[in-house]
Amino acid sequence: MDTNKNKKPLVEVSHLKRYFDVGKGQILKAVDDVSFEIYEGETFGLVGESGCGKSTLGRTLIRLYDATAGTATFKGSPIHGQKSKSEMKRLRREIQMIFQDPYASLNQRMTVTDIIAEGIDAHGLANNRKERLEMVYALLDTVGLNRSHAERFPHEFSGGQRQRIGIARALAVNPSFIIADEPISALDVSIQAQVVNLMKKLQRERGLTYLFIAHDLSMVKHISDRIGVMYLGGMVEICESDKLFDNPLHPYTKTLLSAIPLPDPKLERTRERMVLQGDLPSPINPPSGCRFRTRCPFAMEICASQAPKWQEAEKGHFVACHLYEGGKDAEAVRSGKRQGDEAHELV
Amino acid sequence: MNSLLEVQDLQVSFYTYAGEVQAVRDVSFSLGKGETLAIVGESGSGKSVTSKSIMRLLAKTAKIKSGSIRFGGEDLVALSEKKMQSIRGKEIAMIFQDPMTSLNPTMTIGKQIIEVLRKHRNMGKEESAKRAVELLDQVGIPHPEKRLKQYPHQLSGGMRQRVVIAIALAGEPKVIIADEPTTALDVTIQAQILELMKRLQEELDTSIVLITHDLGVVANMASRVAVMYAGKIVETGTVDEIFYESRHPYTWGLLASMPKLHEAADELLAIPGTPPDLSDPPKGCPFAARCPYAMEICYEQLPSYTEHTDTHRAACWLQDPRAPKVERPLAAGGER
Repeated sequence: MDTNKNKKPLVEVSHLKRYFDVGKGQILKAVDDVSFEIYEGETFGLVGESGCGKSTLGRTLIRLYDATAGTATFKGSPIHGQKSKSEMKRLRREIQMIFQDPYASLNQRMTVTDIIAEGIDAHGLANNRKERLEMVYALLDTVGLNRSHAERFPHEFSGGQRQRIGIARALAVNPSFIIADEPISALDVSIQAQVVNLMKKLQRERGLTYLFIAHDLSMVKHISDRIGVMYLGGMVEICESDKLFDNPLHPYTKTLLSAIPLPDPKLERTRERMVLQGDLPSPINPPSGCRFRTRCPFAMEICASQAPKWQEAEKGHFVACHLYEGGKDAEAVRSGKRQGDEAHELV
Repeated sequence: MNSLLEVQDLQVSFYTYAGEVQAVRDVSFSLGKGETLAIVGESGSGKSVTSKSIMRLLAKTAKIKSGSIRFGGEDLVALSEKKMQSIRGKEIAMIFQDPMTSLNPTMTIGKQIIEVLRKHRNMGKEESAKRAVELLDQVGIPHPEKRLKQYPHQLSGGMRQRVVIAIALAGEPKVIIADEPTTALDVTIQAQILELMKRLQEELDTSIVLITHDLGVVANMASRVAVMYAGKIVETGTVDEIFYESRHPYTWGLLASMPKLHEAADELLAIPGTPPDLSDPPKGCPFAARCPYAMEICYEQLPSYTEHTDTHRAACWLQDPRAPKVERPLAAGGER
C-alpha cells in the first residue's frame, strides 16, 4: 500500500447530493452530502447494503445522473453543469463504466467486434476498418479472449467471458478512470477470481484508477487500496482497506464486518457476532441526527438531535460518528461499551 | 447414522431442442436427523436440480432417468403426484432463494401461512389463525397480528424471507430444503436469517439440506458438505474434513479462489476455464480440463470414490496409489 502523500486526487467529490422526486411531494435522498477524493492510480472500494446509494453515487460520477447539489470534479474540472460538446466528449472518453449484469449490459444483436468498437467509432479513434479490427483484436488479447470470438454474439459466451467483453469495451477508448458497479456479483466464485485478477493486471499495466462498487466486503478488501462505507445515502467511514478491517471505527462498519461468514468452520463456531437488529429505514424519511442511530447498539442522546461531523479520527481514517467527537459523554460510552465490546472483538 | 432421506444414484436429464442435457449424473447422499447437509457448487453444477428432484418440482422438460430417493420407507421417485402432495410442504418443505418471487403477491401473508396449516395440519379457521401468529412470532417478526393482514410488498427482503421460513415450518416438516436462502439478501440480513435458521433447527430438530455457492455460509451452518461439479458429487465429508483436509483439486480451487479477509494476497488463485457442457459431458473426470494436476487417465476414465474416513470420500485419480503424490495448496486451507 502506498501512502497518498505524493498522489494527487483524480476525482474530488464535495458535498455531493443526488435526490429523486418520488411523487406526492416526497424526496428520496439517495446520496446525501458525500465528500471524498479518489487518487490517481488507486482503487477506491465503495461498500454498503442495497439501497445505501452506492450505485447512485457511481452513476452520478459518470454523469448518468445530474447532481442535485454539491460538486464533483475530474482532473480539476467539474463533471456536472454546462459543458461544451468537446468537453463532454473528453469526459465520456476518460471515464468508463463496467456494469453488474453481463447479460443485460451487452446488446444481443451486435457482434463482439461492434460492441467493443462502438466507443472507438464514436470517438473516431480508428482511421480505417483494418485499424479498427486490429484494435479490437488487441483488446480481446488483453482481456484473455480469443480472436476467433470477434464475430460472435453475446449469447454464445458464458457470464465470465461476457464480463471480459464488458471490460474490453470500457478499455477501448483508453479511459483513465473506470467505475465498476458490482462487476463480479453475477459470477461464480471461481470465475470472480479470474475477473478480479484481470482487473488488477490491467490496473498495473495501464495505471487505471478504479471506483469499485460492491457489497462483497472480502472481495472489495482484496482489490481496494482505500474503502468508503455508505449507509442510507451518507458516507460513514473512509479508510485504507487493511486498516478498515483491523480497526473499524464506525459501529455500522463493525456490524458489517462481523456479519460476513468466513470460510473457516472452526472460527465460525467460536465467533461472537454483532447481529444488527431490524431493517434499513426508508431513505425518504431518514432518522434525524445520525442515520444509523435507530439500529446502533451505542446510540446516545446526541445522536438523535445532531448529525455527526465528518472528521479525521486517525491519519487518513475518516469517520462520521459522535463516539469519536471527543465529548465527555462519548468518552464514557466509548470506554464503557468498548470494554463490554471485547467479547465482540471482531475476529 | 440413522438416515432420514437417502438419495441413490440419481440421474436427471433435461430434454431440449439441442438434445439431452445430463444435469445430475449419479448423485448419492443421505441426510441424518437433525443434521445440516450443504450441497455446494457453481451455477450449472446440478445442485438445484437435485433439490427439485427430491421435491418432484422439476420442469416438464426434465426427467428423473434412474435412481431412487428413499424417504420414510417410500421411494419418492415412484410416488403418484397425489401422494407427493401429502409429502410436499408437510414432510419436506422448501425455502427458495428469492422471497419476492416465492411468495404470492396477491395474497396476504396470513392467508399464505394459514393455507398450509389448513391443508397439512387439518386446523380450523380460528386455530390456524392463532398458530399463524405464533409462527410469525417464532421467526422473529414484530407485531405478528398486524403483519398477518399485510401483503408481501409491504415487507422488506429480510422480513419476507422470515415469512417464507414460517410457511416452511407451518407443516412441521422433518426435512427443510433451503435453496440459496440468503443469496438475495444483504450480509447483515443474511446474518440474521442464518442465526434464525440455526435456532429453529435446534428447537425443532429438523434436518436441513442447504444449497449454496457461498463457502462462508457453509462453514457457518453445515455439519456435512457435498461438493458438486458438472452434475456429480466430487467430494463429500464433514465440514471440517472439507475445509481442512479436502482431497479434490476442485474443492481446493473453490477454497483458494475466495479472498481471505485477514490475509493479504496479491493474486487470487483462480480456476482457469469454464465448466464442461453437460449436453456432451467428457467421458473422463469432468474437472480434468481445468485441473492443474490432470493425468492421462483423467481424460479417459471416470474416477471412482476413494474413502478416507467413514464420512469423507473423493472421486479423483490422484487418490489412486499409483498416482504421484500431490500436496494440497496452502491457500486451500488446513494444516500440514
